Amino acid sequence: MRFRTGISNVALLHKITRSLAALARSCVIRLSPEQVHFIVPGNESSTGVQVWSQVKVSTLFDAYKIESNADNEIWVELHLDSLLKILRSADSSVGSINESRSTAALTESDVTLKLNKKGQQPIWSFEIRGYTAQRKPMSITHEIPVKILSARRQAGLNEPLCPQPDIHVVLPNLLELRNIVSRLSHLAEDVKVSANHEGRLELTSKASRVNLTTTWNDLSVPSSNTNDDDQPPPPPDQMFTVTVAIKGFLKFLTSHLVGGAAIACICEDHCLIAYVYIGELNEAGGVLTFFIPAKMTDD
Amino acid sequence: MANQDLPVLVAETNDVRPFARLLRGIGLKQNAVMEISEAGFAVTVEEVRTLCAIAWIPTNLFTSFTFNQPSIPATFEFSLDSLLQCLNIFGNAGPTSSNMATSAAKSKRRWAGEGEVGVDEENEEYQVNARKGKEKRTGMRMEWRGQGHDLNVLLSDDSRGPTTTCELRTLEPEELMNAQFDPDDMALYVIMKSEWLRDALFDLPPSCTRITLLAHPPKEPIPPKEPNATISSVGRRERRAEVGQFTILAEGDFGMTELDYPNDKEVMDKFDCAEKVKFSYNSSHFALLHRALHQSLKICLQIEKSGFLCVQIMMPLSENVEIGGHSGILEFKMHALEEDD
Repeated sequence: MRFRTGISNVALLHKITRSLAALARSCVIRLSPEQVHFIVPGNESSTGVQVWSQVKVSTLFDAYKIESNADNEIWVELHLDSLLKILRSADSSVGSINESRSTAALTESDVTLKLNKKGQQPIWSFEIRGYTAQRKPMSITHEIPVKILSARRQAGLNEPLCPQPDIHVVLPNLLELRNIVSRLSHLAEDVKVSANHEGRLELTSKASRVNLTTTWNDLSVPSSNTNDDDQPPPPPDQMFTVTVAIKGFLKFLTSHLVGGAAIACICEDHCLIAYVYIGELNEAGGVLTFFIPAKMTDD
Repeated sequence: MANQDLPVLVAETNDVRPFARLLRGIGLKQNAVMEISEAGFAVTVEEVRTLCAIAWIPTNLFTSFTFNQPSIPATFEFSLDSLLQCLNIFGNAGPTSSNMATSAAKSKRRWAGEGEVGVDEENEEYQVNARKGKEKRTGMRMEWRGQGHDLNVLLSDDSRGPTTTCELRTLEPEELMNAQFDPDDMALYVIMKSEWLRDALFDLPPSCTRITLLAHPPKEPIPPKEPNATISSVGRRERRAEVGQFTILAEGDFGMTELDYPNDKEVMDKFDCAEKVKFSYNSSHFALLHRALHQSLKICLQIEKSGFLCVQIMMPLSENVEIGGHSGILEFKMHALEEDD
């Protein structure tokens, strides 16, 4: 089992990790020769929100080498906190997002990641190489313990099965959405997310003292490409609705960090699925998929 | 008689900030009582029947204001906290950062309209990001159909952006004390810049429990010289005895703070005081003024002979105010504490 790679986009990996860290303490990373999958199974997060995402290797890594006797795939589980600490340090060394670069930051640095063993404990070792402000070469190594997942654990991790979504809708700017939803969270527990084929999206919260509805119009509604059943299309003004916990919805909205376009799918009374695209839609560098379970309500 | 089908109130504005600012100034409790009249809104909050805060909100803060007098007074109780949260739904009517920092540092009290969730690292970042963008305004249309109906507030960010509708429950108003201030029984009348009082409230020791307001009328006999006073301090004392002065005293665990405001032109706009006045107030109530003073222009402080205090806080005028009008006044009224010595 060998794994070694350079990290070409530290900032993006950092952002993805931050989004995931808002959800859970640990996550499973499935490394395959073409794709990297970030997985947060439902039992990991308190709100039942799951993440099943895939990112192209070339979006994050370069000089990527992976070998194993299981289809050249390696599944590791790690603590997001420790990964986040390393990436924060690496990110400031590479200096891509933080404008306020400390004088201790390295220049022209690059980051490589290796799977190693320390005694019986498998570890991920990050090496950051660069130059100090005095043009002296410097190398910093971080190590975090990881768990290699057995074939049995791997088989136990399954993407949730969902019915055919009732509607897809392109979400407004995630940051804007997050601002609004975080204010709703002061007033209510749940939010009702509804959309129709006219491109209308409604967020409704009911509390004892106030009812709030925020409406967007003229959002684009991608037509679902799997139109194999003969059912007539629903009337365009029919609203499809799912109620989710605001807490869970907010956790998904932390992914505004990743900064891409997002599409929401509503499976009525089942779940809300949100796809957050990495990079532009047509580049398809990868996608983070969030499953937010529906909350059953009386009305 | 008003037409039964017409809503009692329709008020519209294209910027909710002045409205939200006034409401936030009295946001010391969850619920408030709103009274609507031809002149605008009067929103009242009372704390354990000892402190009464009223926001007078004139119609000139709105681009249109239509009021149809119903047969019964247009008064209801509503959740001030929720209304403030709603007005700030797009993030354009929140407390400013400096205000947040100071009020959070001063007390752990949760104000209506302010989130109770701690500001974590991520939150901070998105707030900064949100403010970086061009200045956006939230427009509002408020409608109330009358007793038993919800208060409907429609908010929109800009023409393309999302819209939010809020239906605020209205309740039968609780009986208010709202003791009236009697201007004929006035012992002290002071008008000065808000800044002077705001800075003073900052300097008060956090451990103090009572705040004493003291005023000396002009042309008092010069107090006896203190043995170890410096020449300049003696001169100051003489001058102040001549013109009169207003003093705020607060005693904390680590000493006494005394703030003097001499009756000088630069300090006082008006200072009416016939004889010496000395009354003490509950410092936690007095400290509530701090938030209301934010962004305000002038204060008018009046004390009745009984010690009943009324502080009126004037907000900066908006552009289209008629002469003699105002752009909102916050009024705080409280009774003096019993003297303990």
